[in-house]
Amino acid sequence: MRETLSFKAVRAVVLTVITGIVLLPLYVVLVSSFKPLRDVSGPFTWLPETFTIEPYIQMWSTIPLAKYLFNSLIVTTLSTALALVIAVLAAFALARLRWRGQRSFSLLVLSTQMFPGILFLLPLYLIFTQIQRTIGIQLNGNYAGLIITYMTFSVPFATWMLMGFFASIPDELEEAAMIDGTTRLGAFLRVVLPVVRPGIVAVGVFTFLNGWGEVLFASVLTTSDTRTLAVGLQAFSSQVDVRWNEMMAASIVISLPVLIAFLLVQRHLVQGLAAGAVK
Amino acid sequence: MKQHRRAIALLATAALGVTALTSCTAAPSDDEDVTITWWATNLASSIQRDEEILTPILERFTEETGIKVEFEVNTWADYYNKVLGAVSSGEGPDVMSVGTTWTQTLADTGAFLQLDGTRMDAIGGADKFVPASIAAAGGDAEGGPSFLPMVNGVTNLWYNPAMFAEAGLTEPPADLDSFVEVAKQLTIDTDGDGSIDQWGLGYPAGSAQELSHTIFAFGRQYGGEMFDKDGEPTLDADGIVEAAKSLTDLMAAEGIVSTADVESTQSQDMYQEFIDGRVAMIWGANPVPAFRDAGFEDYAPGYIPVIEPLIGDPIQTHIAGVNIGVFAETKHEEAALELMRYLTDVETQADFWNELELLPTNAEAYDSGAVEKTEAFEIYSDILANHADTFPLNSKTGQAETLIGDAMKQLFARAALEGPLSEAAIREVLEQANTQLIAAG
Amino acid sequence: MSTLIQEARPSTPAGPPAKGNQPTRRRRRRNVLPYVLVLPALIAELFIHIIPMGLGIWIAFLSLNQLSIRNWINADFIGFTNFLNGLNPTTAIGSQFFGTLGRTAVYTVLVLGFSWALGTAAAYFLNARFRGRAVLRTLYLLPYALPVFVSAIAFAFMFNQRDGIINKILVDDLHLFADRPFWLIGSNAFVVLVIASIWTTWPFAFLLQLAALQTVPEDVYEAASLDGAGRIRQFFDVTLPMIRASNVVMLLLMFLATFNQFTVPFVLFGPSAPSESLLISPLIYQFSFGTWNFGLGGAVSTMLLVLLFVVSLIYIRLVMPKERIRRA
Repeated sequence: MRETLSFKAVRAVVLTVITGIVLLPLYVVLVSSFKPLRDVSGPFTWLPETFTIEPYIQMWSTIPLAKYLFNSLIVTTLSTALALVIAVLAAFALARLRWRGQRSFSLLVLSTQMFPGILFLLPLYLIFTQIQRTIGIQLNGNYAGLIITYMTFSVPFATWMLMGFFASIPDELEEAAMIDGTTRLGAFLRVVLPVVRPGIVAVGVFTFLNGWGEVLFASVLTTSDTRTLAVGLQAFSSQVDVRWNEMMAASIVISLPVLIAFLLVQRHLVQGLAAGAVK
Repeated sequence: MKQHRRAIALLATAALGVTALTSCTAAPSDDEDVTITWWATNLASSIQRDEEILTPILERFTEETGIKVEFEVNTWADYYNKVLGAVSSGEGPDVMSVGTTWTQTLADTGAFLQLDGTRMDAIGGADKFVPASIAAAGGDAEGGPSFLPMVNGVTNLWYNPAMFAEAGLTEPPADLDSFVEVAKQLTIDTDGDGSIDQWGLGYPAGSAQELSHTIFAFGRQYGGEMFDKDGEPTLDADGIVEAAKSLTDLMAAEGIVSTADVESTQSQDMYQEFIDGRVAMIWGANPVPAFRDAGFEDYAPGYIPVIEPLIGDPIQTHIAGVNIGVFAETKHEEAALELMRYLTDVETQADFWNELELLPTNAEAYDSGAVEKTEAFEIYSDILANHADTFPLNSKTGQAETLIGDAMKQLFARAALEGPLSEAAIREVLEQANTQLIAAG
Repeated sequence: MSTLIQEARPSTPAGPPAKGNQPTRRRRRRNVLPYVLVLPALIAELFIHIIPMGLGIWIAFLSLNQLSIRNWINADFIGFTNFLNGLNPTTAIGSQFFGTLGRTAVYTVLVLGFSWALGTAAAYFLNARFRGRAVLRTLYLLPYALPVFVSAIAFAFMFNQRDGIINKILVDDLHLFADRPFWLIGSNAFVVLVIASIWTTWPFAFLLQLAALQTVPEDVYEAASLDGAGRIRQFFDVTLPMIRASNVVMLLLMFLATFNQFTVPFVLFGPSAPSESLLISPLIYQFSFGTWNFGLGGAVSTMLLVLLFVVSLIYIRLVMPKERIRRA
């Protein structure tokens, strides 16, 4: 549709304001990362009085940052992939099929979002321990436990959200495909899934960042070898000093892979339903 | 109720897809090539540094005993929940480091081996320790303590001699009133812009943990104890109320502590303030490594002031540090006890002091030539021997620490916003904390 | 509980098509297929979510503290004592519960409202094609990419009374206050908490809104604009109804997540929040982990679960049936 001048003006104003809100804290993080520690803890200055890149060098040896980065990438990537597959299947069953227990299942899954996360902490550790003792699969302290945990924590959200996305696609779309003899699931996977690609990407981003920033469970379920970034960042605060500048520098560096990933996927966020795909 | 519990237990087990009978205990492994695990905690300027310090120490242990140690350095922020996880599930390392103030609460869980006669002998006997140190680890417990002191620390005063000289002062006075006067002389506007930029005392008034420790010590000076003789909570004791009044007044009435300090949530913030020359004095537990890291040299140790006339005991600090215990589920009790012995032996203890500047708990170490007897060492050990006491050893100590710390934090925030607090207002807040403590688990 | 679920039955958004337009021969296969499809989700949820939640509820009926935590299965069963302690407004513990619950509700409404509005506005404007939109889209997601732990620290820096950028702007540059106000203690702490929470939450609404807008075919707009509908009317009459299905779910999920917010206040204020800004999750943490009263923490959590369940059911009933009617 044609964009009038006044529309463009409103858009410019709104986006400028939002950009300002977004940038201010990011700028504080950025500028702090280039200051010596004594300036970070002193009065705020818009520009560093003493510009230093020392934090970006020092941070790698203050904590094993590279190892934490690697751990986080493994855990979050795998948990995201698994959660998406599981959630897509479940959301399809919930949004498109009729079966006994459907509502109970969807409400059960939803109810997990109503219980404070912190309360899951000890029971989960307990259950992992029981699983290890009885069937010998170790889950405490290794990648597997954390991957399963993050995957599961994202599934309810992802399932419900995808259900919402699937629900907005008319049934006729896959019914048309089924006339060609494809199964319901096949039609769904081939026809509906590509249409809701933005939704799947969005849910994937959500799932990924869920694990990327999670601290509480990672702190209990990891060892020094499997520790993830968000937990590891806390180690910039030691008994002796708190290296705020290195912590900020590290946050920026670890956000780079995420930033690149965003740049790559953002296109898919806005390329779902080409005009006219649904009539 | 028994029925109920069994049903739940069965359900839980069944849900896990197992039969109740398969719970197996792994056979104890043979003596050769024993590997034990140890959860250590951050003590140095970074966990990397901790690893560098501990690695050679533990390699020497392996050489001596043939026992391998897999250790893991934990940051304090995450550690507490991790210990809880281990305690509630029975899945944990063989040896665990814990904070001194958690000692009694964790001992009560029964998740740590009690070090009775034979076990204590394996470690070298209770006599090997400084009496105050082992007492602070629960040494008098019936059936033996569950923890041993690994290293101790005390909180003391640090001052900036250059600032003192500039104000025509020599050293910080020992009694609180004179201390306040001196601190007032040090609270100045150095650049003449109309606002104070050098404060007499820097205090992390936003740290519930620091506050709980300070109120313990000052409460004792005023004759207030956190638990009475029968072990019942008395967080609202008169002495504690008076101590809280006098502490909050340092900020609100005397003006020697900046109100901005209520936003300082950890003692390290104050080390930085001190390094940056914004405060003339701090109370801190071994900030020297921070000073050294920053290349800062204008510091000298002293003593935390005591009220005069003294009403209670001349306590300046609680006995801080790290205790170690053997996890009750260990399959390598002997090896774990060996590690406990080794960590508290003179040579290792000397290493801890020389590398980390944390006080030995081994009595002999104080006479050992291996320990570098610096000025700080003399002051720390004097404070430990004469001016420090054990944070109460009560089942509810951990809870008391949290609750009184929170209450003090609330009081300081109010003092910063509203000015000096009345004793009645202070009492009300402490009473509430006490009620919660009584109701706590 | 089962009656509640029964009641909810006709109102699930993704209800089956009302007309029996499915080929009959498929019915048998469909009976197995759904269960196969949800099985992985069910297994994962059962072990990692449902059983721990069950244990959390069971704990609420126990006297569980440091003396019994190790052998929790044999902890004393004390019935509803923990619930009564948590609910009795005359006790030190109970007096905190209702105030905190109300505060959390206000907090949730504010965070949810602003996040949704910001996210929707940004997504709407960035849905059009213009130069720089890819950059802005990425930029707006950044607050979400930063670990919440770090964002909250950044906010603590910004709102620091003596050294923060906010007081620098408000007091030093704009001279709006004579004295530097405190933001992280007292009643202002709640304001900062809300602001920091919105900042970390809204990109999520933006992300999902952006995705939802893609399901609106462009020809709908074209048709509407031919009718002469203005931009604003079009947004409310065409755009919003079209993304309604995902929005109702998004709001529900965001509501639940915000109500249980833990990390932002925990990092901003430490384990002990100023009482003026104490939310329900940190309160539960304080009960459970601060004072080792796990039973009480479990009881408060269980009450929260029941409350949120009821609210969710009402919401589903009120909001979702219309959705189904539109589709049918």
